[in-house]
Amino acid sequence: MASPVREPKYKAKHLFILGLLGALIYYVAFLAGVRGWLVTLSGWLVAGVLALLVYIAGLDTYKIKYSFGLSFLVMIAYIYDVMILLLRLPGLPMAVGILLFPLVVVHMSAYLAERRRRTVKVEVRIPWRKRLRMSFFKLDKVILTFLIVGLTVLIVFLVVPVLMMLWNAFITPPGTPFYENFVRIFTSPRYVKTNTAGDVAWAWQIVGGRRVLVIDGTNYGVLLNSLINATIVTSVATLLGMIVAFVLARYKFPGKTLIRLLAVIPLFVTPFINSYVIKLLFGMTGPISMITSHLFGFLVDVRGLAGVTVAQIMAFYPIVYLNAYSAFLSIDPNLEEQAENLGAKGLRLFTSVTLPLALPGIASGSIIVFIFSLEDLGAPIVFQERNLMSYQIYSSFTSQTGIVSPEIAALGFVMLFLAVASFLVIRNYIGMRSYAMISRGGRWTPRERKLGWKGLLVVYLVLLPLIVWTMMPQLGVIMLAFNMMKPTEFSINLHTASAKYFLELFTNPNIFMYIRNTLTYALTAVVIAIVLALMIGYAVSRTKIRILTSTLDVLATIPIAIPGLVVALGYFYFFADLFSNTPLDPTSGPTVFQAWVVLIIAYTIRKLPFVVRSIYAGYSQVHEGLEEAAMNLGATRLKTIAGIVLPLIVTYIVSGAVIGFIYISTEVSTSVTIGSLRPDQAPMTFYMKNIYIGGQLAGIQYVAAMGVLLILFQLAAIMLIILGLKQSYAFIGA
Amino acid sequence: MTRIRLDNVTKVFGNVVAVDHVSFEIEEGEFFTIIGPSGHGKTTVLRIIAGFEIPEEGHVYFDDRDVTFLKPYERGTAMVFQNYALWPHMTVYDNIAYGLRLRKVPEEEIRKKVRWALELLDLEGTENRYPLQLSGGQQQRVALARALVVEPNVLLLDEPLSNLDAKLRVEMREELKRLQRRLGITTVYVTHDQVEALSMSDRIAVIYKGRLQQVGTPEELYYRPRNLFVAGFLGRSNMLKARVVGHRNGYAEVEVEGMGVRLLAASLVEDGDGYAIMRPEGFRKASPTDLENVFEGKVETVMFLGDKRELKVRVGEASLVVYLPPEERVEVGDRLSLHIPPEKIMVLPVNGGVKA
Ligand SMILES: Nc1ncnc2c1ncn2[C@@H]1O[C@H](COP(=O)(O)OP(=O)(O)OP(=O)(O)O)[C@@H](O)[C@H]1O
Ligand SMILES: [Mg+2]
Repeated sequence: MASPVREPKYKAKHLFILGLLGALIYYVAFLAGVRGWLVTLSGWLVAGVLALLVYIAGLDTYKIKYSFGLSFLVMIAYIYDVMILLLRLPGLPMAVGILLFPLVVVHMSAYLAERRRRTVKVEVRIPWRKRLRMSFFKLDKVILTFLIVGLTVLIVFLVVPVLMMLWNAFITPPGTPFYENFVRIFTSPRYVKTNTAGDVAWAWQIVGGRRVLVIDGTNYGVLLNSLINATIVTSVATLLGMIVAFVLARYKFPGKTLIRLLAVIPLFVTPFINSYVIKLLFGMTGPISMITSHLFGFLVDVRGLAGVTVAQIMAFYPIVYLNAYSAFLSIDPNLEEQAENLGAKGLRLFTSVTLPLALPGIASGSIIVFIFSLEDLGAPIVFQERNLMSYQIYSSFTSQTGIVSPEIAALGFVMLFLAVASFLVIRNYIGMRSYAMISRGGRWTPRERKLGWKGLLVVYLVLLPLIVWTMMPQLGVIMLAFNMMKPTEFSINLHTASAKYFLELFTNPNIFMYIRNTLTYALTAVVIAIVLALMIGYAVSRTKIRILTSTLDVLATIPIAIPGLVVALGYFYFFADLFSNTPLDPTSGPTVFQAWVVLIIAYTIRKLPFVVRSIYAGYSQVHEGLEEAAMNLGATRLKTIAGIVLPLIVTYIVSGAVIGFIYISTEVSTSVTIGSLRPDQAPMTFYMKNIYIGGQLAGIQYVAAMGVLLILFQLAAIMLIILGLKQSYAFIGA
Repeated sequence: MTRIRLDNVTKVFGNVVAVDHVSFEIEEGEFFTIIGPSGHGKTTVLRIIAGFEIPEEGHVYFDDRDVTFLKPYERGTAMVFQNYALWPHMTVYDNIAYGLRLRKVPEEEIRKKVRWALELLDLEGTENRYPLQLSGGQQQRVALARALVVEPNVLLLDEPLSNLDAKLRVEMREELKRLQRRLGITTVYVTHDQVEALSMSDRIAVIYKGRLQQVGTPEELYYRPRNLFVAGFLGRSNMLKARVVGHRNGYAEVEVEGMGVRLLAASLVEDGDGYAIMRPEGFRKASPTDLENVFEGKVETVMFLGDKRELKVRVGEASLVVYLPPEERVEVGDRLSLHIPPEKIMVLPVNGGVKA
């Protein structure tokens, strides 16, 4: 039968040809010495306009939307092109920007066209006043209150602080243009360094009479470093996480249960101290150096940017692993069996059916890794790598003046833009293809097959060591905490084992103070977040006023994409500008400033999405008919919520609270920045950060013991959720 | 008991007009059925009466009181939902008692009333079970008990029998009807099953594309459909193009396309083209005393259905479905002389009357 759909004439490869054409025009002229904005512009125009024409002539945009590689490339292309246009880097970087431009043009056009198609013209004309009246009538007082409270809190404590940061980013010295701070970020070599001559990524050094291979990476300036690092970390973590998840989800082999349990261990978050252990692992006393010195006679020391990259890969790859694992498990086996039936197998089956179906899940993990990597402070502080955006923002809080400079505000805005833009692109992509996750009810037993001997070799010789390696940081933390390992080198001394550091956490008031602070703040913030999430979730799921509810929905979930350092900056300006000369003013000094208020608010807002997610899931389990049945019998809205809805979602509330608690107690960004302005009110993670300040290593066991305490919290949470509530542990994901 | 009146009610969802200027009145204690194809606005009408939807236009009255903007919990209706909507975290007893507890009825009284409902619906012994531990039929009866126990002024039923198996459905149909008659509650019943509608209702409203096509007793709708949609929706019928060519004896004289005969018929069409509607049971074997509306045909198929024989008879170029009593012995290929009384042929306007 003839398909009514026109066969698309052009494919993605044609876009690259066009991009290449534009890039060549520009680059050839550039090499020939013909420069100036006209040449640049014509390069961009050739690529852009031709791409638009190809799109109109018929292009397989689905291919772009539904292929992970291309979608990812589109995301990179957006970011890259915006950066390139801002930086105006001539030569090869600009040519690459032009090469990617057709992807951006086509993706944007397809997106706009899709939106146009979705907004169907309304045939029935009801006067808008009447529509408005109808809509508002549906909102009884209770829902209206929920809506207003939710919107107000999120606007005041999320939107306004971010706007205040933006406002401060435009404060410039007299006589300079208002966007001066941004110009500096995009042009000064501190932020963007294209001339890296003399800066080598690795070098041989002699330390203590031994040859050491020092790997520290090339410095491309603060901005580019952050981007390059985040890109590498995301790509490697995605690949690793995907492979581990696939093997564990699909193959049966002896010892699988054990390996699956071990693979969970890297998920335990122990801020700073795990990076410290990773530094040891990759340092001159670590296992790698041991091997190389035995085999080749030299030591290895991974430092600086390179250190940050490996530390982040090890810390974040489990996020992808977990998302990918549940994505693979949730694929209806029938879909794969059908494909096999048609003759697909092996790699072909994987790339044509399995991977595309699992991609939304994997992508939602990857994007979280990208954002986490951008804003991470643990690895940069431990590796003392100052040339990263996160470190720059952090250190401005600890400067002597106690005043954060406008240039840092601008940097915060750039970070926010990068994170949110990539988040939205990926979410758009996931949203458009979430069909993949729709399964026709019913449970199935996941497909599992036995491995052949080659497969078994791979599992035991590659996968198992990999997983054991990635759980080393947590292991190291435990060994440090119980004094089974020297703080300065990676070695195991079981005979020195002692619980004294761990016990001292609770007996030493100077240390216990931090634990008490964390517990108090986390519990308070969780309670507030639960109440907010209940209101917001209810309002969003039960009202049909699109603008209001979708605004609320976006506001409640977007904090996932907002780097914590941006929140910290926003709150700094918010409280400094609006509450100056009150105890809430962060610049009021370390004895006056009431950091606890700011911290609790920041925790609540930052971790709200995780709580909201759990509560949304609960509400979506409660069919609206159950509520209508109650109201039909005479129950008011509040009575319905209290008597019907809440009892039905109680497990979701508990798991939301538990997850919120875990995220808050391990929170770093606002804790170490806002916390540093009032140390005696600071939480555990602030204390943990201090391990590496100034290179003094006293007290490292206490920090490790705190890490163990956090591991215990997390272990208890997992147990409660899996065993008590019989839910799967929704650790993370967008 | 309550009288319900809908006045020009319109409900729009986005760009779908789910209910389009619908007006009707339901008498006190009446069993009123709304019937129509799937997705044509039946549930929406019910939800408007219950107060879950507010119409964009028009008003709803309970006994002359305008209740259009009254909240659902202020209306005193009781609804049995299409999917029962039993609360999974409450036992059968608590489900049924919920409405009474809201009304602050003393616990002693509640126990008595719940017992009464359990007994009435044959649910004794299930009171401590949870809804998920009940069969579909039991769940349905619990939903009904929950609605009845609050002694509502209006009972709203949204396809309550659609999830049941055939046997249970027939039983429940009778039981429902008996209950309703005994309690005398004004009842609005939504279904798309014509047998249910015809057998249970005092009056039926037919809805198509959100518009009310006809309201009347089952007999009126069956024998005097106002338009082709109603005629086709209720019962089987032969629908043939016809042309009114004259009038005689108070009947219209029509030429039915393909049959090559002139017939006398009751007609809504004065002149010109229309459709002739003939119910299969309207035909019988012609006897020598039949002078009008007699024609010859050839039997093409015969099916024995127990209570009747269903034949396909070719008359000229037309093929008619005809029911004959089972004792009539006919074979495929027989030539048959058939008669249909003029009042059993309706001629309806070609498109007229169908509101779309
Ligand atoms: N809440 C809603 N939002 C948008 N459209 C709706 C909503 N409720 C109903 N509709 C639309 O209104 C129309 C009428 O729906 P309704 O549920 O009243 O049909 P119905 O006759 O009860 O169908 P069925 O026999 O399948 O239950 C349908 O086109 C439906 O899609
Ligand atoms: Mg319905």
